[in-house]
Amino acid sequence: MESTSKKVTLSSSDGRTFEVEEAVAFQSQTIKHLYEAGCTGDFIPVPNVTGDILSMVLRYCEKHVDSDTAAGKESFYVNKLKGWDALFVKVDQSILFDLILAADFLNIKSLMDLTCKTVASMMKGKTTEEIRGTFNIKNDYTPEAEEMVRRENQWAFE
Amino acid sequence: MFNLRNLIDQGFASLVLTASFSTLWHSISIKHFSQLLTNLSLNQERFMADFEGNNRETLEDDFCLLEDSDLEGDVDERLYELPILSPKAKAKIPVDYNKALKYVDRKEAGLEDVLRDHALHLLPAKTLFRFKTVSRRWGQWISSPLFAHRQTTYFKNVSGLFCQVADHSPSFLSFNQDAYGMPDPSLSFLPEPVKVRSSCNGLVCCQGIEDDTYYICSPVTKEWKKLPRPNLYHGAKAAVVLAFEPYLLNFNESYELVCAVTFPDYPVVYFEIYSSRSSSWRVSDTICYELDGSGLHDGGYYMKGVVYWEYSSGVILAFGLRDEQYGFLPLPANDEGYGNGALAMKHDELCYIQPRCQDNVCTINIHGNMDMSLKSVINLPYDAGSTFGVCRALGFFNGDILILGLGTRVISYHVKKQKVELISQHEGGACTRYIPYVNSLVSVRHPLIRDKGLIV
Repeated sequence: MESTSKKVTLSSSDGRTFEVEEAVAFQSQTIKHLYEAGCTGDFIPVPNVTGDILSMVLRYCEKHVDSDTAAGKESFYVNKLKGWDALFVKVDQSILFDLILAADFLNIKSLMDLTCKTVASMMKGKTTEEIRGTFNIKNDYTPEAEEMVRRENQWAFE
Repeated sequence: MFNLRNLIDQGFASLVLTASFSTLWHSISIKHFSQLLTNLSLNQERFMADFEGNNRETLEDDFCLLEDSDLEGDVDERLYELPILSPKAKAKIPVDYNKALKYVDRKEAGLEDVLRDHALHLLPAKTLFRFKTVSRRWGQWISSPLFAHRQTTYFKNVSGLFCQVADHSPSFLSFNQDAYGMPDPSLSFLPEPVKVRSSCNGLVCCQGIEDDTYYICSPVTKEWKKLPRPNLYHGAKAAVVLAFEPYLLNFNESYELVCAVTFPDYPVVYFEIYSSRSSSWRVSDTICYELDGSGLHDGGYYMKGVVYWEYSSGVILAFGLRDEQYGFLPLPANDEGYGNGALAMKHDELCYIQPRCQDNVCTINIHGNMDMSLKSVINLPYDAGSTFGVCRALGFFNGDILILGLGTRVISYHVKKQKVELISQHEGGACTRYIPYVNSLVSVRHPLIRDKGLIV
């Protein structure tokens, strides 16, 4: 790493700190805006992301730091990066969900797209009950109302 | 009733914030944060927080962390204690950090909202209709016209093929029964039996068997619209192509229908275009004198503002919708002549896929560039068997799936996984027409108009 590049320090919810280059950290719009808004103290807190997840997110950001440059847009690099991304999201479901929440909070669009696409392809063949269970969603339908909605859309259950 | 209030309830605010003007939130955040730091009036904070929606509302608390008093004093010492990506180093926890700990618990509640805002619109229509029963909120959100529009804009995966033999009613060959489908694949909700002609991003163009009337329909919502008669005679085998590009900011789904009109004994091709904006047909001033009707395939291909038609004589006729100019590309030939290949998109470029089956071995030639030169060859790891009839390429979809018709069988080949799957044993055939279809929630009517007219 070049010694001239500016570094930013991030602190996770469990108090772990990570020092990364500005360009890496600023892929997160939240951090960029925090920084620009004057949060230039010795570290930027990321209060709802754990150290494990934050280190994954930062690894992703490091890998993608050149993706906006001309060299990074060449198809060779794009394809290589796509392969890396595919492996990156091959993680346990709970880690994937944490990554989504982190990407949402940190506002990293490309990571959000990647993780949401992954979760969407996981979801598409699932049943209603599986979705409720996986995402811990409370069923607030009365049994009658649910039965009615189900009957109206019977074709989608066949 | 459908008024503005409902619109907001159904998530218009979040739609606009998260998708249409994604930069808006950022600029708001900056203001929001700096205002908080300088302790601006509470009212304004509330307004901002409301405006940002539920997820963001909590951010103001995070900024307790940033108050100078928390950070003062130990700046220098800590800077030297921070190794790169070290899991061991612990920063001194600021006093108000405890306040922030609750966001770790936010996880479960937050995930549902984040999914609703960022993942649901990436799902196909059949899955979404099933997910209406997950909860009341999901049901309302999925049923809202704004969500339908959003899903139409984002979901662009080809989900299956409409198959039709002659004038028999069409059927739908789904690539995944659990995810892609529609209530009535035979399209019997239309006022007469039809031939499926073309499809683009969820809209389907059909032609009535009786008198060639054009219909535009959405097989998922069963909505349809009858088009006026064109000025020229298109006939029952019209070379008609539907072009529909949904835009997030254009709620009025606008599409165009382009027909290459030919005449017997008259070597000329006219282009007639129906535009949903004007609800009328118009004959383009551009006329092609180089070709005639012989050898023109009735199915065309639309990609990125240009419509392509294959000619058995060995050319591809291209017609640009924006400038209404035409041009030619060579159509690659094989041993059996022209015609069993398919136009497709690969790496964002037009390509022509040509299958070749010999001695039970299938190879796929992929042609590309302006001269349609051979770019790559795929050897299919599949024993085609000896009983097959015609081998046809039916398309290359979603950047990965190659669909082939082998006699009566329809198979798919996943290029990345290098895996062959049998999609159907019986739906194949030399006379079957295949129309690729995207399982979107697209509405044929304006999403803000309900049956009784414009209310918003």
